[in-house]
Amino acid sequence: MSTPLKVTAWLAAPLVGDPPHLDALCEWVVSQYAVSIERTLSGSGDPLRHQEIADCPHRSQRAPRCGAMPIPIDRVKLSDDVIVSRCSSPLFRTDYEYVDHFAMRIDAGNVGPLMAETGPQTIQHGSTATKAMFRPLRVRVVERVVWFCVAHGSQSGGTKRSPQGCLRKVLREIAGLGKKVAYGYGRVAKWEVEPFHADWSWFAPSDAGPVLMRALPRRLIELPERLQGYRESFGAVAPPYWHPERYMEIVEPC
Amino acid sequence: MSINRTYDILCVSKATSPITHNRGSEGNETIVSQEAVATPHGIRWVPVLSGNAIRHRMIREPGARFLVDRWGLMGKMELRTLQFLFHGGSLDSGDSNESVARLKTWWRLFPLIRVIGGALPNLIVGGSIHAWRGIMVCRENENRLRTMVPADWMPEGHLLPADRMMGRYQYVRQDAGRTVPDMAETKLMALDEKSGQMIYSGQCVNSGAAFVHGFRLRSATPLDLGCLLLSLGLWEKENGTIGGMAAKGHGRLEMLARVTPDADQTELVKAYAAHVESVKDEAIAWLHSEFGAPREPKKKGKVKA
Repeated sequence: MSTPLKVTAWLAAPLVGDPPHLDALCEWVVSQYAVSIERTLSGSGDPLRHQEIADCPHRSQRAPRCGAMPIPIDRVKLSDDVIVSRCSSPLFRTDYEYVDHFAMRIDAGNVGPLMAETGPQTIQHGSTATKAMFRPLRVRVVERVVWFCVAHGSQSGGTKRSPQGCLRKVLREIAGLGKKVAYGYGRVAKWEVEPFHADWSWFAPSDAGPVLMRALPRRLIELPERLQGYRESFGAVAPPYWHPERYMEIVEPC
Repeated sequence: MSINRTYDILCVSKATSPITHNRGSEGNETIVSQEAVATPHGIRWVPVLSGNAIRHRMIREPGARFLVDRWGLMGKMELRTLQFLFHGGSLDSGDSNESVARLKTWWRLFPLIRVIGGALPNLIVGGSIHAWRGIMVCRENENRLRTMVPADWMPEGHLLPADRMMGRYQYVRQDAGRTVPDMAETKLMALDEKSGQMIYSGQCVNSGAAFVHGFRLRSATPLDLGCLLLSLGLWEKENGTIGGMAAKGHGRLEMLARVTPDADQTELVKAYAAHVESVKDEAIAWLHSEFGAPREPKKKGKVKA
C-alpha cells in the first residue's frame, strides 16, 4: 500500500551545487545493486554491460527506458514514454552562502627527485597537463534537505517491508549530496523517513492556491486552477534529468 | 571473484603541533581554513580540514610513493606520469574516448587510482572514495558530531568553543648580514644597510585540538581497502602532517581509526602489497605506453667549428 512520506537528509557538511531529485538518487542506488547482481549471476565482469544496467549512459548514448529501474517511490504513467515519480523537488533553506576554493599544484620540490633526467625539466604551472588550479566553489550552509513523496512497500518470500523500510534501505547507501562529495561536501549525517499526513509530492496546499512541488510535463498534465509558484521552462521530469533526450516543455517550481 | 561492498573508516585525529591549514592571507598574516556552521546562535566560522587536502596527504601521496618505491621508478618518470600518480592526471587531449579495455587494465593494475580516481590524457574516471572534511571537535559542531561519532567516542562534559582552540604563530626570517657578518666578503655593509629581517605571523589551530574525519569506500574490493589502509599507515609512519609549514613542525596529527565492517587489516595490507609486486612489470609497461617512456640521453655529437 502506498503511503505519503517526508524524507529528510540532515547534512554534516556544507553543500556545493544543488541537491538531486529523490527518484534519481533511488534509481542510482538500485542500479548499483543491479550491477552487482548481474556480475554475480553472469560472472562476466563486463563494464559495458554494467553501464547499460547501471542506467548511466554516456551523453551520446540513448537514454534508458523511463521507469525501467524499480524504486520504492510510486510513479504515474502520463504517456508511453513519460513516467513521473510521485516525489517533490528537493526543498532546503540556505542559512549562509560563501565561496570556497579547491586547489591543485604539482610541486617541483616534491616530485623533482622522481623525474627522469632526460625529459623536460620545467614544470608549466600556467598551461599544459601540469597547469595549477585554484577554482572557486559556491558553498551553501544547509541544515537539511527535505523531499515529500509517496512510496510503496515490498514483499519478497516471506519478508514484508514497509514503505519507510524500503526507502530507508535504499537511502542509507547515499553518503553525500551535491557536487564535490569526494572532498566531503554535502555529507549526509542522517536520513529520516517519516509518515506524512498528506500527499505533497506534486502539489502542496496554500491559502493562495496549490503550490507546484516538482517539474511536470506542460502538455501532458492539466494544471490545477490558481496554481502558485511555477514557471514554464524546458527540462526533464524523470531520471537521468541531465540527459538531452529527456528534455521537453515543462512547468517547474520557482 | 572479489566481493564489492561499502567500507566506512572513521578517524579522530588530535593535533600534536599547531595546525596551519590555511585558506589565504589578510595583509601579511595567514588565515586558517574555516567553514561556516549554522548554530542556534547564528552562523559561526569554525576551522576545518578540507577533504581534498586529507585525501591527498593521507592517501594519494603515500600510496603513490609506495608504488614508486616498490617498482623502482625513482628518477625514471616523465612529468606526465608523475602528474597522473601524484595529482590524478589531466584530461588534456582533444580526442576523448572511453575505452573499456583500458579502464579494466587501469583498475586491475592500480587499485590506488581506482580508489581515488584520476585522468589519462583522454579518459577521466571518478574514484570510489568519499573523504570527509575534518570537523573540529568543538561546541559549534556538537550536533553534527553526535550524528557521526559513536557515543563512547564523544568527550565527556561541555565542548569548548572553537575560538578557544585558535592561536597564533610568529616567526622571524633573519638577516644574514647581521647574524653572520664575519662570513661576508666585505664587512660593509651590514650595519649601515637597512635590515632584511622579516617577521611573519598568522593564525593556527592549537595543539590538542581534535578533528573527526573519515572515508567511505563505495563498491570497493578488499584490495581497495588494503590500498587505503596501507596509505594511511605510511602517512602515519612518516609523521603524518596536514596543512602547511610541516618543515617547521606544524600540522602533526595523531590518528585513531575504526574500519566498518571489521576486517583483518594486516592481511589486507599484505594482500595489496603482494598485488603491487605481482603487477610490477605490467604496470610499468602500461605507464610507459600511456605517458611515454623516459627518453634516452642524447649522445654528444661533434661540435663543428
